[in-house]
Amino acid sequence: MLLSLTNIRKAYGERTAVDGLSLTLGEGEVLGLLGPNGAGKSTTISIAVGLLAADAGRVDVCSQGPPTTPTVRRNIGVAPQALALYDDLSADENLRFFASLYGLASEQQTRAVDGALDRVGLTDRRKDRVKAFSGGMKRRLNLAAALLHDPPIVLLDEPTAGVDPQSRSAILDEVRSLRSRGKGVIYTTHYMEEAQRVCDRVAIVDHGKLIAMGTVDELIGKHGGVSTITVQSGEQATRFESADPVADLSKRLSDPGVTNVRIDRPDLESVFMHLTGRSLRDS
Amino acid sequence: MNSPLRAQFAIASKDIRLLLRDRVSFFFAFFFPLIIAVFFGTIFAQQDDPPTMGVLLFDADQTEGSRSFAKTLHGASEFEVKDVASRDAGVDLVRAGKATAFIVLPQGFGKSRDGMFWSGGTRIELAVDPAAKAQAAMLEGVLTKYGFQQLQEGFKDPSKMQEQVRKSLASMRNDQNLSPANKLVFDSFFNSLDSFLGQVDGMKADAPKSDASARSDKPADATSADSAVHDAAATAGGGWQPIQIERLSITHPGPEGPKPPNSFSITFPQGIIWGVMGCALGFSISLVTERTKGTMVRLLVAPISPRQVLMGKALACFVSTLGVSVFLLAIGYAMGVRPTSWPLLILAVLAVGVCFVGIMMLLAALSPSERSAGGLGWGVLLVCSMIGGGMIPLFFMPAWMKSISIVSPIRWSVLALEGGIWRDSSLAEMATPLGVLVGIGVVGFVAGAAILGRSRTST
Repeated sequence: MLLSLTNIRKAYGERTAVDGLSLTLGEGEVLGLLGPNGAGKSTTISIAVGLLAADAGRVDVCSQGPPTTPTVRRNIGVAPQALALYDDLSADENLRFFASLYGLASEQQTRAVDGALDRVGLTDRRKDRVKAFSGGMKRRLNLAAALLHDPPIVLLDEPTAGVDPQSRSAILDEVRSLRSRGKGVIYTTHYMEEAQRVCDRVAIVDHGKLIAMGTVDELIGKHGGVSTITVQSGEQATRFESADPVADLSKRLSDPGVTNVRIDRPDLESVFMHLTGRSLRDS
Repeated sequence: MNSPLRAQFAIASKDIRLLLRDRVSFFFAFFFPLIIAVFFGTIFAQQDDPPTMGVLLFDADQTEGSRSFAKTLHGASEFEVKDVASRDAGVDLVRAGKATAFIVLPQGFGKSRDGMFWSGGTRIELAVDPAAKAQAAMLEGVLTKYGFQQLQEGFKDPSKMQEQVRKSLASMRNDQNLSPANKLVFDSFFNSLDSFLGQVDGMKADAPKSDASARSDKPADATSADSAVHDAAATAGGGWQPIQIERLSITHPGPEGPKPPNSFSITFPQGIIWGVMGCALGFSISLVTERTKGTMVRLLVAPISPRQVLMGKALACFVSTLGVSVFLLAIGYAMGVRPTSWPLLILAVLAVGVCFVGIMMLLAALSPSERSAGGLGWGVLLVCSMIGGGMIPLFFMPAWMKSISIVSPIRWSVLALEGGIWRDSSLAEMATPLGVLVGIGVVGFVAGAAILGRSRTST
């Protein structure tokens, strides 16, 4: 067990940001924290990494206790939601500085920086100042900074916010690579598609509470409902739910005048809708 | 080097690098203060030395001799002489800084010229502004010069000089304070001079024989008299000046102690303070930027304590203030600023650095955004500078302004720096400004760190 959060509570005045949240993270696993803006995902990350003190509950990092000491925090790499980079330094200078905070000596720094830049595809831009980077490049560099000291736990807070498709793809590829190297990754997002693509398990969070957790298939199977089939005949469209959409669609295909058919399988969006009564996008 | 210390140095190094790359901040930290120091120093330097030295003169004697000397002084090219009605008036004017020096031709000046060869020359009184040390020496030399010149003028009119010599001879013979041996010397001298002048008056092409012995009252025993004359002569004439100058003491009613030797000694400490203020504000804004832009998250998540993060920021600010101070002092030295005590000046620079690190930390803690950090910082520091001597020099300030300036860290910074540069302060005198500066720094740092720590746990 790499990370354990038990019954975490955090309030800001009258507003409760995190309310009794518990989760665990194992090696070689990507755990998604899925929820709308303001659900408490970033607060949970901040508590997990020791930036904030929880009002109640317990955090345990690599069985060494809470992340209140430098030794324990060394086990965690964070890519915060706000880009934590110095615009007037080059990519290389940024990473060398962050590496020095982790006590890496000169040769280790060089190896770590070279490796991190290579993994996120920014080696050829290492001498350029960050202010000249695109948003996607900054996000990639932000991720690279979290990996410099090769931590067992990586916390990624909305790592693909505002990035171009190429950068998104590169980031998601790196997340998969981290999993294959045995790292434990917590990946917060409000993009359901990303959570489905890359996460082994997903924890759905709303109003500070964990409302469901499991694999994507488990969540969909349990809370996603059934598929919806839409059959179009000319101007008229007929929609109906089906537990076995392939079989049901086969039957309808023989109907005369069918011009178009569509199967909407349940996804995390429908899981969220089912659990909260609201759309993930609308929240 | 252990990891936390390396991290602090890394933070400091990164911040200094960012300062150097921020051209506007770099300009305001290093070059704007230099422009202020040189510009205002140059303007005020034109008032340091008036074109002609103003000297006051009071003739208390009102004799032909004193009037003659006064006329000579009025015609001097080295200074501009104005007569005053009384000794007190002259002293008051010098004390008030309205004139550089005051000369008194005391009663008996004219008479003393009769005995000037044996009674040590004529006496005058001289009072000089204590700040005008160089001018004092020059004045004494000029007055001595004019004393010799008067003597020389006398020799141009032989009959007049002869009359003077006979008067001097009679006066010398009647002087009860003169020893017989010295009287012999002068008697011989004056008789020879009288004889010479008589011959010069009606001189022809062939030089007359001088027969000084015919007119002298030399004693019969010439050998013993001659040796007595020789012995007396060996002691009588040593150190003789036509004018004996007695110095009068003048004290200023205004600021006690020394005055700055030149305008740059005032403007360069002010420039240093402007530079240090620029550094403090720049780093306080950068600390706020770390919070608002998110880089502070990485610093706090790193395996170093928040205290070490702040120490790294403080180190960067401190090193920058030292850099600004050294830079400006080097330029100031090239422009004539000569510290009276280098060790005390070094202490002052260090203390000023500590003070403004604390101010930087407190400003950063109190400011939620870069804009408020800039506004709050400049607002507070400009007011402190206005009342503390950062704009109007402390010794120009009226008493009421000096009394309120004690709340300004700028005042203590100015006092500390000036103490090492021109006030000639002792370590005991520097203890208060140094102590206040370090105290402000420590309190500001601790308070700022506490506020930052509280705000971190509540967001």
